[in-house]
Amino acid sequence: MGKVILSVRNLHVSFTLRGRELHALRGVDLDVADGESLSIVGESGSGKSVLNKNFIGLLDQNGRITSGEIRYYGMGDKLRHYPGAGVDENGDYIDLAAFKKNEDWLRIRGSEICMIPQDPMTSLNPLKSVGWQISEALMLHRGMKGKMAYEETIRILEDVRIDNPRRRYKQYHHELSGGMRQRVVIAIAIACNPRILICDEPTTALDVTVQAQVLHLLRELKEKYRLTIIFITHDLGVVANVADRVAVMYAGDIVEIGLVDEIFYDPRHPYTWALLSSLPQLGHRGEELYAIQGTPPNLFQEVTGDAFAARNPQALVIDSMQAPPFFDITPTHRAKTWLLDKRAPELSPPEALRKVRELGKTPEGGEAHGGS
Amino acid sequence: MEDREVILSVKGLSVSFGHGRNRFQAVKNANFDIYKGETFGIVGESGSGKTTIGRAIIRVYPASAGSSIRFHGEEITGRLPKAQRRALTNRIQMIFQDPMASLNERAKIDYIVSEGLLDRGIPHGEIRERVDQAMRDVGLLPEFASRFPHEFSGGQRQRIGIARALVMNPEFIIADEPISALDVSIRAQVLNLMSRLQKEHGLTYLFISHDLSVMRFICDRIAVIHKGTIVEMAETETLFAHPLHPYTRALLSAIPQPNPEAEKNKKLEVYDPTQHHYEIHVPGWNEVEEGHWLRANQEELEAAREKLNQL
Repeated sequence: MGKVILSVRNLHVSFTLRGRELHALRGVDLDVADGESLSIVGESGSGKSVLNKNFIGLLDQNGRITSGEIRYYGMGDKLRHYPGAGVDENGDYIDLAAFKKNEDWLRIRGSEICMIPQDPMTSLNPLKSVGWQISEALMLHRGMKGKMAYEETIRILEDVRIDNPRRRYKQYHHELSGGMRQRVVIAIAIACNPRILICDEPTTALDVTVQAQVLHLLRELKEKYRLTIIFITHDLGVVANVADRVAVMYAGDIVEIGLVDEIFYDPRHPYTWALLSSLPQLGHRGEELYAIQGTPPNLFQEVTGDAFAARNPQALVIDSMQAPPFFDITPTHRAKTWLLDKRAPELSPPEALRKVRELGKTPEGGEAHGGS
Repeated sequence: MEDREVILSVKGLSVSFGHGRNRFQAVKNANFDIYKGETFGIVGESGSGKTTIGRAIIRVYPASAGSSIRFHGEEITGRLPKAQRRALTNRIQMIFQDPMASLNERAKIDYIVSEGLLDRGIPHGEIRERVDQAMRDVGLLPEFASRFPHEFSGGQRQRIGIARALVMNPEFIIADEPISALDVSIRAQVLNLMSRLQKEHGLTYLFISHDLSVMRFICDRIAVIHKGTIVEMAETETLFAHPLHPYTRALLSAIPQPNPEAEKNKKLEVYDPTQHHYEIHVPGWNEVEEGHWLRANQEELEAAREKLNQL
């Protein structure tokens, strides 16, 4: 793993909802390396979006960080005479969790860490031309003006593979297709010249053929602009496409993290097994598909032991008593499950997972399709 | 295969919206048969007209003149007597995409499930019984009957939607993206439920989706629709093994596979509609091999047959 750019230490986040406390993140630890592409997978409610909203200070009003640190190492020399809060005494990093005021965030949001939201329809301004919205980012974050901003906008529009950029500059978002709109949103993010780009399910609203093109574009831009990409999604097919590393989240915590090959070909946590086994690609028509029983735990209540134990038919006794720590499998791969303890019984992953390697192999014609 | 009973036969189905210059043809000349007990899939991107076909069958949208939809051999397009319309509602039911939007927020579950049975002269006791049975069938506890939709998770709401269809004792269910709005771990539960109900009740499904990997798991036959036109139709494994239409090939190549190695080496095929030369040689709807239909003109058809012979 390269130099760490963002380091999350024991992060706890709570929301107050109708007088009750929802413990949305339960002690998350995560290191993001400079220039990597990290995917965070999990079901809705697993906390993957909440985690990432902390990085740009967009947590909802009723939410707050109760403890923990978010160390951002990307500022370098800019921290020397930094006026804001949260700077480490040696000037190595800035702690985003220590920010109190919105002004603190203005130096981070956009120019350091940027986010591509899920739905381009609701994130673009319908009253301004798309080109203007990209220029606006250039003016605010890079101090450009007039002709210079315009020319730079045209260049960025070309970078995100929008044809005829001079005409597109003047168009409004309702004149564009879904894929085009998402490209414009990506262009706005790129215009800020960030170090870290957070993509929150950027392709869920798109058709498969368009999705494939947008994913390809993101990979291209990552190289060109030397971006660190954090990719939030629930689609394991998308993860396999974009990720260098994968973190699996469940009930407000990361339960397994490793290189993409380690997670897909050698998963160790029962939840990761279950998630992979329930993919329809691994099922046989006419047979039962593996299904995870039950629903995720209620985070209004304190979770004792392993959060997945209640849905895991092979849970150990200790799973319901004590939360497992991280066990290292390789230097890059670790998982929070008691199964990796020396005293645990030998449990092998489900049979179906062996088929993952066979999926989408292209025998002759070049068409990718699922295995059977 | 020909000896199987045809439950629904669609011939020359066209649906258009608007009038005059604003007329937009959403579905153009669709032809297919659905056999009893099978799961027939229609796959396409957004705006391709796949939902419109489903809605035309259930008579939400009127089919254009000249279209024919026959259910058990009886014509069901156009004006029908009230008794026949009611009978059709019993026999064809629908499951919707968004379980959050398709349930009445102000009604309790027992009312939502029973609504289709009301005002039909069915005794109160029998309605109760059928509602209880339908809820048990989809795996909901009877005590849920007095709750409101907002008290349920997405997966449970979709079960309520399925119970509402099931309570009518239908033969044929149109499922329009029934699992797209659900979480990965819940999808498998709902898919299994749908397969189980199909076996127990002898149901026939029309499954509409954009997700080919789910379609491959659940459908017996698949039709691929592009901009209102069905371009290819075949049994699932045939379609995946040797797709003939360039659009089908593009669609198959774009499916994200949960296998990093395959994803790194994958080659995207892009479909360019201008590659067809349909100005001179008009395309038709042809059976290339048994049960495998393709929209192609004479030249393309010969190329496709050539390709199949080489396999």
